[in-house]
Amino acid sequence: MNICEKEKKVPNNMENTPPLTLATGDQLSEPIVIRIVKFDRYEIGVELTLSGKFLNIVFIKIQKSFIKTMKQTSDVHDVEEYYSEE
Amino acid sequence: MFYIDVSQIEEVLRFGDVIQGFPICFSVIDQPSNQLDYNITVSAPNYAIVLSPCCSIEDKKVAIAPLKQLENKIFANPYLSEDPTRINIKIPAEKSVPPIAWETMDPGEKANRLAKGEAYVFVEKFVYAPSQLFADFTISRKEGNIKTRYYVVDFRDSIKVACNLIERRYSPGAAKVLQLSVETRELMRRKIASFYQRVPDEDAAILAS
Repeated sequence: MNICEKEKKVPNNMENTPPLTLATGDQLSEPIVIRIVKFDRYEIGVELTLSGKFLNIVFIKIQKSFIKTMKQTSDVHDVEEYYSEE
Repeated sequence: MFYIDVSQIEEVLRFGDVIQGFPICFSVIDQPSNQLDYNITVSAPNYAIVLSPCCSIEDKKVAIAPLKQLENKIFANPYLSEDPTRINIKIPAEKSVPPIAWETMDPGEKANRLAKGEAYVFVEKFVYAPSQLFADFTISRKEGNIKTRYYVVDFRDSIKVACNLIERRYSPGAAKVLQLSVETRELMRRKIASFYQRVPDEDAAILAS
């Protein structure tokens, strides 16, 4: 099994994952890490070599914390219960 | 300036226009059924409001809603009573409810509202300022009677009117009686957008998971 491919399939939240040890027969290629970079409302998964060389973008998703923020900043005061007809 | 001067009213229909001569018609049911068991309610309000966005007033149809008298309950809050068009803009939390409600509100609830900052109240409503065209009516409160000419449109009252004449360049003539200023129309556009943009808690929980 190619260690590098396995490394690409790790969960998105795995940040700066160290490469696994190569097994006998594996091709010796430069280890890869996936670094999650937060940009504005997005999380971008960037594939890098250990030396920091850019290889690929593997995913882009909206930050969960941003979705939560959207809800919290709802621009409506719920006031109906404090008003009544006379 | 809430409305543009009568002499500057454009011939075409625009979002927020005050119009006359358009009946309001909607169905009333006891419960959903395949038996076509329903009533149809038709009314002829003095005035209605165009709720279709300016660029969607075409294809022989337009969304409108009746212009109604402002409700009694709004006058429970002196801040809104002083100028009911404050309902059209975002206001501070401490002004959003009657003073007695704010004074007696749970401290935690009060803190949450203060943290939210300025926000809309009665998000489904947009208040129309007095015009010479509008009849006075009286609000009866225990503090006394208030004579007013503030009217309101409720976005939930929107219905469709079909008319072969309606297309982009349709000129309704005397049926169009008032036009909002560009600034007021923008306020209404923002408020109706917020009306539809609210995220229910259950959806927010799923979106955040």
